[in-house]
Amino acid sequence: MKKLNYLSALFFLFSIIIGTNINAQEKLSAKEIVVKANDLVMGNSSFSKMKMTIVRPEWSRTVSMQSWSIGNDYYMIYITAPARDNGQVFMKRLVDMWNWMPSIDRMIKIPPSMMMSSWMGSDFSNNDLMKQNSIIVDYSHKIISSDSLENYDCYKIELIPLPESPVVWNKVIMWIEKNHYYQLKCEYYGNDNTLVNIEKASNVQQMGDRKIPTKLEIIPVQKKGHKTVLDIVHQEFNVKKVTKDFFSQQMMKRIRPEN
Amino acid sequence: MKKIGFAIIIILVFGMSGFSQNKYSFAGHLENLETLWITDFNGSWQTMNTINNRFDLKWYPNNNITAHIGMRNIFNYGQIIQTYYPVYANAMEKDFGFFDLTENIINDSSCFLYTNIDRLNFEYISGKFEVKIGRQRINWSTNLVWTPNDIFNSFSYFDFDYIEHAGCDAVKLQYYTGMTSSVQFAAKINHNDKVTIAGMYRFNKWNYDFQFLGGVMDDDIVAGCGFSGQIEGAGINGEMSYFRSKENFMDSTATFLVSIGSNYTFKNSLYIHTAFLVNTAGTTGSAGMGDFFTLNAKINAKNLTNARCSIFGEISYPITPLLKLDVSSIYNPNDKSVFLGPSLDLSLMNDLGLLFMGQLFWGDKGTEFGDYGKMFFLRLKYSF
Repeated sequence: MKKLNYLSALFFLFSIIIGTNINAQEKLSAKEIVVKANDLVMGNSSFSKMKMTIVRPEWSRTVSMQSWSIGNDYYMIYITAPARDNGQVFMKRLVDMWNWMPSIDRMIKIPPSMMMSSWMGSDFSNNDLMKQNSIIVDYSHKIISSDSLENYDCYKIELIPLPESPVVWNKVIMWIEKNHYYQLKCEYYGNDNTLVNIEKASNVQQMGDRKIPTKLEIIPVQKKGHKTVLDIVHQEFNVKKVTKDFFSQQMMKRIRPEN
Repeated sequence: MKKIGFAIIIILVFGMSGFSQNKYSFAGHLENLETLWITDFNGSWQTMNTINNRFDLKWYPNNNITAHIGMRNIFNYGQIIQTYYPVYANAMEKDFGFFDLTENIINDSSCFLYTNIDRLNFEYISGKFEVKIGRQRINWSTNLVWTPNDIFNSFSYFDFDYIEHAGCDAVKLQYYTGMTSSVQFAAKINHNDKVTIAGMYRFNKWNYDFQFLGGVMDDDIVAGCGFSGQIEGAGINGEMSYFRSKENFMDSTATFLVSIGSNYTFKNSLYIHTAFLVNTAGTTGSAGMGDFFTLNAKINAKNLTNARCSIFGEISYPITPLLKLDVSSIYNPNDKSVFLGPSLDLSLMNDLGLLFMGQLFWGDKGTEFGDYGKMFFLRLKYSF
């Protein structure tokens, strides 16, 4: 069942592909800025091709996939590499999840616990990040300064967990680009305010109708030489054929990767 | 018609149609498997080497049609071949389908080469309707170890090196009644002209998958049901089948098989899995099934084991991201025999894996696991 361990990482990917073409000039609160940065993938249907590489001092492994999604509730993920898992399809419809394994003609219903483990020890952690809305509802938000990051003018926003909210971070600092709301950097602080993870987004490119950062790196600060890199090779938004009816067991079996 | 020439015609059809980009897919693996078999630690240790190549070629001439051919080429040599000649070779060459798509190329007391086509089918899709004709795997099970609902293709849990499992010669019709529900009808005919014909309705309700099936399997009327869902994050599956002789329905007793399984994955990737099987036709005495080579031939949905009751447990954990430990075990509480299967799976490169595995059996003579000794496997597998 080890193949199913992709899931946690895969589903998590959707919650971090952030970018927007909203060109709002009005004065927004810190929370509204975070919402805008977060809103991009929510509610929109999208199709993407991506590649995730886990980098360690002595080795690296890559998984490639194509995905179709509507917000956070409907996903279809087709694994294209590594070869041994090529053709496997995962689907989520609200709370139900399935795995189609074409080599044995088998549809497996996936229990929630199987999503919780990481793939190949990837640096994507589940916890509060798995919950798409957590970053909005579980924290208070405050603009602490403006900062320039790789020539982008950014809001620097501090997120502090609300009392009794079920999150693992003590503090989160976000850099959100002022005009397009790219979430370009995120620092996650653990107990004693020690920096645990840095998430960096870069390589802004036109994908479909908008520009988004297409390279994302998660760097665990205390582990030298460790990181997980996500490359978005292709992405389209508001894809017509991707409706709720697209996410069917019949489609799981029929879907084929696009060139 | 019953021979492999049939398959060659199909390959030619594939070939002549001319492959274009995205009209076909090609995948498979190449592996080397070393087997060490010890029935008596003080006796002679037997070895065998297997070179195994599999490929699956799929052709998509348009959106409505898919053709699939899956082929295995297997070369064995070593003492086990010699000691058990020709029993082992003959068991491997046996094709249980209506068509004989297994060809024995070399059958010698020292080595053995055969080729087997286990998928050879055409599928036509029109809207929510699908029909698939030819050699295919029809998988109706929900469980991971014992599968009483799997009336078309049963498999042995010990056959770890053949995860694709054999196909059957069949026609399958499927109609999707919703996003997560469907009706299926399938009919297969096997090597001794016995027919399995059945229908199944599968649907999702209350976040569970449910299924109900009924029909005829070989000489029996069969009815069954199954489910798959979750409790507190843990996966739980169950399936039950009822078999009764169709010829002597009134004079025979029914056989019930009930299998329940559950699994849970902890946040640190520790995975635990348990399963139980009760077979009313099973014996509470010694449940041996005879020699290991022909185990697959003896297994079907009605006869998954000879035991009245079987208990399975599995635990797996990634020691490092690239090295996974897995230990599974089956216990027969009646004849007290035990199977233990430890394995270490190491990812060497993206597409290259090394597996070390033991299949260790303990028990008195004639018990379910008493006659199989200890087996050790080392496998290098390249996937493409």
